[in-house]
Amino acid sequence: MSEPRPEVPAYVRLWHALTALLFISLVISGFVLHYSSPEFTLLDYGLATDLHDISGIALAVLYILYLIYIVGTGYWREYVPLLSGLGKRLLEQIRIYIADMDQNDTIAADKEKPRFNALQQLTYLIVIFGLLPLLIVTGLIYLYYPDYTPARVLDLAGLWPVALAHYALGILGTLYLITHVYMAVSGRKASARFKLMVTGRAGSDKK
Amino acid sequence: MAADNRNVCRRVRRRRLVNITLLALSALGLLAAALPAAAVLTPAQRESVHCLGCHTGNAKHFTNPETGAKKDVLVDIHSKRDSDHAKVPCQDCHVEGFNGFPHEDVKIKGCMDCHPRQDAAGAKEDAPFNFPRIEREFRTSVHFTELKDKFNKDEDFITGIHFTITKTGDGFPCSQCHHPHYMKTAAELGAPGSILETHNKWCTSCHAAEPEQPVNTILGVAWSDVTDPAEPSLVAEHASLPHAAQHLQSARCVDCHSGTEHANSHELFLGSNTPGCESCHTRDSALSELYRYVKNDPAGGFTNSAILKDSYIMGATRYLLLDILGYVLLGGALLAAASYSFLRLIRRRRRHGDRGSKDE
Repeated sequence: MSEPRPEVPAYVRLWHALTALLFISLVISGFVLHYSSPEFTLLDYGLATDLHDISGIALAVLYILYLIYIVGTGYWREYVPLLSGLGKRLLEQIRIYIADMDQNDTIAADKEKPRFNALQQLTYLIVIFGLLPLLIVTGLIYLYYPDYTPARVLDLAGLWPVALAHYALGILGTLYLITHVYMAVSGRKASARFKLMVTGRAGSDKK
Repeated sequence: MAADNRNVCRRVRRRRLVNITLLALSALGLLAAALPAAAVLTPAQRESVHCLGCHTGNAKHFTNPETGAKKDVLVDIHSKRDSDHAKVPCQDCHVEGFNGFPHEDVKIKGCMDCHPRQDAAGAKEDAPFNFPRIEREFRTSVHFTELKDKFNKDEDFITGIHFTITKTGDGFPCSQCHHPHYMKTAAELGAPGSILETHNKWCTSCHAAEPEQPVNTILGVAWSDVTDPAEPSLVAEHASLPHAAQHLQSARCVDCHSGTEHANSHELFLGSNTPGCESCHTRDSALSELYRYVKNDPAGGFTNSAILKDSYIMGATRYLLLDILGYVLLGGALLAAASYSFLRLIRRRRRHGDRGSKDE
């Protein structure tokens, strides 16, 4: 019998939980900051500003610590897909998700198989090493305006490219959040993946 | 012979004199014709010239013989001629006590004694300002409520809104902010930078860490009644605002500390009792009042593009295409998730149904 996969490391689970909370806080406060009006506001604007700033800085610190961890322990390899046959594996995974997620959603318990499928690996790679750092950098530049932005860009106030980039990345981040939560509750048992990220053990997802 | 010569000389001299006289008269006539009509003074303007003789030119100070207080009496005539009251003669407002010197028992008209004006042209110009509303709003403001005892409604000729201006300079007339000699409306100022600088000067002349000595505008008397200087600085007073310094540079005091219903609202809110961040950080931004004389350019794709020329304002200067993309992507994702969940539910039920019939 193949060796069972080790638990999801505690640090990864902790990082995941904190990042999730901070990201949800950023999405909600970001929504308030961009879409409020005197007639409708989900949250006090000043509170939303403080929440967004504090959550953003906390996320930045957490991210740097996580980077150090995954580089030091080699966990970063979980996110890197094998290039050979990647396109074919991606298409196959998309077909599986669309055709019938229930049939093929078993969490791989075998250590020999990759922890994530090709689509998951590519998505996490883009999010962890692309989307998140860009969001953090644009957010910090925005926070410390006007120190790191030009005075004017195309004869307009110089903050607009950074602000637009941060907003666009925020939309993509929110899109990822919706998709990620949906995928997490998909499967024969909605709680299976949540249990994985809390206890670290794959358990059984068969009803 | 000699007599003939003398006669000839006399005739030549006479002719020369006539020629010179005719030449001089022609020159004067040409000069008079070339003079613009405005150079010809009206009676009211001629009266004003009497005032300008003392109140313009080199620095002059009047020392009050009773109190010994010195007062600068100079009027900046160039600024006056550039102001909204450029064509208003001195005597239209300075109605009594100014013919003699020293000026005694003076009476000066208040702003509301003229505005709104009653003549057709003046009434049309004054209508957008809605002076009755301004007075109503002012009476609710702290500048009135804190100084109620300074008001005297019985004066016929007063400076400001039913004020008595005492020799100590107490009271808060219109002219404390809107100097009758130099005021220009926002429409005249036009550029947001000019409007911002002018309007903020009214407030910061008193409400600053080290205000220029608050001066009653009319009497030029030091006024020590200001109870709310900004300590230790305006930025420190506004520390609750993120990027307080940028806020103070980009917005007028009245953009936050007055009502948002009208462009010239005189409802002044006390302290932190302001409309709230959402009044500016929204598509229908209150800050657009400052930019109302600058044209928005929708071709750039931004809302409030006039504001964006100076500042990027979160929530107000939005890129519409990105907003639409956001709605489509996120709305689409939620719809797709809901639809796919529904589809899976149906498939699962069918599968259970098939299994059930097979077992039978």
